Amino acid sequence: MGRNQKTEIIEKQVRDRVTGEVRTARFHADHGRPTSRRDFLASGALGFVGYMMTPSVLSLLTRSKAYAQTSDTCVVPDAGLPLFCTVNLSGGASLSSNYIPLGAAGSSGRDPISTYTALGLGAGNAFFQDATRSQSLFQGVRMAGVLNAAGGTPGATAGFFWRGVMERATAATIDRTSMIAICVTTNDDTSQNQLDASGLVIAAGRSGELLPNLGTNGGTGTGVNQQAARIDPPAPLIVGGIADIVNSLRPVGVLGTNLSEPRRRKLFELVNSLSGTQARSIASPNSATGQVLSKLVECATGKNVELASRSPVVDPNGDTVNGGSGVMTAFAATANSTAHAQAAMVYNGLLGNASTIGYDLGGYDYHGSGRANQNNQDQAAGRIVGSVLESARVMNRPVFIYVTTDGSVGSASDTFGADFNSDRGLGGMSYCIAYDPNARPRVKSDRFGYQVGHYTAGQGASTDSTTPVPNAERASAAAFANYLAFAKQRTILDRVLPGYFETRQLDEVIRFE
Amino acid sequence: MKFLKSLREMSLSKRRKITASISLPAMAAVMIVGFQNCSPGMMETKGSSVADPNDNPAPLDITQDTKPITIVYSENLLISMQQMAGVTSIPAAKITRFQSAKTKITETGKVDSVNAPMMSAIANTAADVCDELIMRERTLAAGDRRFFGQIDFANIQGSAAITEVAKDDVIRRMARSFWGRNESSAERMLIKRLLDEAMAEGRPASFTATTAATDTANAMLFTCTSMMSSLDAIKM
Repeated sequence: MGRNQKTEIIEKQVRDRVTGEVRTARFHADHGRPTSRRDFLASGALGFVGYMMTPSVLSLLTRSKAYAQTSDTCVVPDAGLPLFCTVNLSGGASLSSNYIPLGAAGSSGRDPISTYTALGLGAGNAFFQDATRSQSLFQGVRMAGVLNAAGGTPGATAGFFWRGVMERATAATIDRTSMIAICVTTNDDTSQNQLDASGLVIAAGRSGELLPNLGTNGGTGTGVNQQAARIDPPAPLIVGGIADIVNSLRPVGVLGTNLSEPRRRKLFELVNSLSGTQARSIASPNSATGQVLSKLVECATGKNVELASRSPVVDPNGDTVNGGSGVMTAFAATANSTAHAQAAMVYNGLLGNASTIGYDLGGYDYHGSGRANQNNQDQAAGRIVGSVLESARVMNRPVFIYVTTDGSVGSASDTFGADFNSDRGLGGMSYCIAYDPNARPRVKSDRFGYQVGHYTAGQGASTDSTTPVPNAERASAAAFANYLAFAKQRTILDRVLPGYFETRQLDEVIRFE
Repeated sequence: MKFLKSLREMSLSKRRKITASISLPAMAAVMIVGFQNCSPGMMETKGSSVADPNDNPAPLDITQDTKPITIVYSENLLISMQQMAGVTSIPAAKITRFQSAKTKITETGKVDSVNAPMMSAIANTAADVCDELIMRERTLAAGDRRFFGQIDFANIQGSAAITEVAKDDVIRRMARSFWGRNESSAERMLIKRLLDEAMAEGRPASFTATTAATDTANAMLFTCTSMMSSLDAIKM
């Protein structure tokens, strides 16, 4: 090896390890150590690893969320949300002949449309002011028909939904109840209308202590014969009888007879522990469903451990502590009847055992069956609503009822109270009825009144840009927004349905205050 | 200016070093910032943080998940359990009970449908299948049994006479059939501990031949039901 001071070049004899060839290598004195192929590879690998392991700088700079260790609690904090109860009239009931739909809101409010023949309320709109054919109920809502009107008089041929309500709800209950209507065109005779809002309510934070959401129709995953609006609810417990609720929380068959209560408790402890261990293997960070499943199984089996040690009260029959007996009375229920199961649903909902409840009532594809039958069906639906309201009063809890139906029916007669003889989804409607044990829920007294959306001169619910509720999904979202307003939790709307309604639309959409 | 002057006086290699030390980190920063906008960042994991209460709780979309998991659903639950246990037929009364329990079991297998009544219904169904399995194997010679080859149902001491080896054997066989794998040592210890604790509850001072056999059968029912109801047996 020699050093050339003048050119600062170092020369070195090197031998190739493979060929044995001897060569002269020259190095510049001010150069670094030569970079070999391996150095390049190492440099590239290190850089690549560094790149892979480095978080996005932007994400570090812009992150504003506070992350902390999860509390791992199974109980969803009570968001202060009241019971949300859906009453779905499957087949297309004539809700728009019970509540009298009004037109678009003018500067001084809403006016009746010019005629109501297609809605079974006859030609013209004079009946709107006629005390023999219409009446004011709740906070001053104008309804068709007259309560207790004698047979053969005009007032006794319409508005039977309200007769049903008043049959079961006492005056004290009605005094603390308010109602709004949502004018919306829906499809006839189908389960495809997105009219179930229970998923939205559960997403808002409404939860059940013991039971999931309850329903009576197992075909849609919502508990009623309607599709979910925007957010699917968890699988409902389908209630066909009181046994479905009672047995859902206790062992039946061999498990109940062969293993004693202490052994069953140990069994659920074991299932809980095994599942917890097994969950960790699937709850990897890249598996959202794995994490959800592990948490749900842990909570569900943990709940069963708890339930194995006590007998929760889920049957209103004979319960004088929480008002269960009063609920049975409100539903005119006898033991093990369908009404008993219906009473148990609202009882558990009001107690907080269940998150939401949904009654699916059949027999509302009733066009062509005669007005007497149509009125009877409307009255039966009203009885359920009245029973729910009265149950809330005897249990001293608030409740929000969302009455829905798929489509509607139409009439071709100019006579008030004429038969409905065709499907007519254009005449669709939903109701929101709220009870507060402390005082009648307040509804805004502005130009929109107690109605969301409007009917046009064609006697149908508007579907154009002038209405904030042109379809079923938006009607459900409007019901949900009013539920939150009733619960004094309006800010939750921005979390569950961010930006869904324009600000100007919210003025009309939210009627409760 | 002084820096630029000294830079000009530097050798080429030194200038390259300085240039590289400045430009390479800058390029790396551009690449990191510019090309990660489609990912959440490598250090951020979904599982390590509390859900933001302001996030929209959209329903789970299993098709969007990198590791889709579903669970048994109502229509295939009984069949699945029968296959796991090798029980080919179920009495009508138990089928009727299952039909009643089906309303509490998810129809879709979606993960977010799990709730307490559903897990309870699964345990009830598992107990019925396990009971059928035990009744059938008790009548077979030990060598012909699929799960209970080392269990002496006739031992007058009941479940207290079940040896550790026999318990290990049952657990191993059930783990392979129900979970598709061997049990871990932690799982085995857990099952045996809770089995012992459960069977000690209310154990009489002595048995008759009949009650001893029932006690042993109940111990197997406990083991079978718990393993068949646990997560690895119901997830798909």
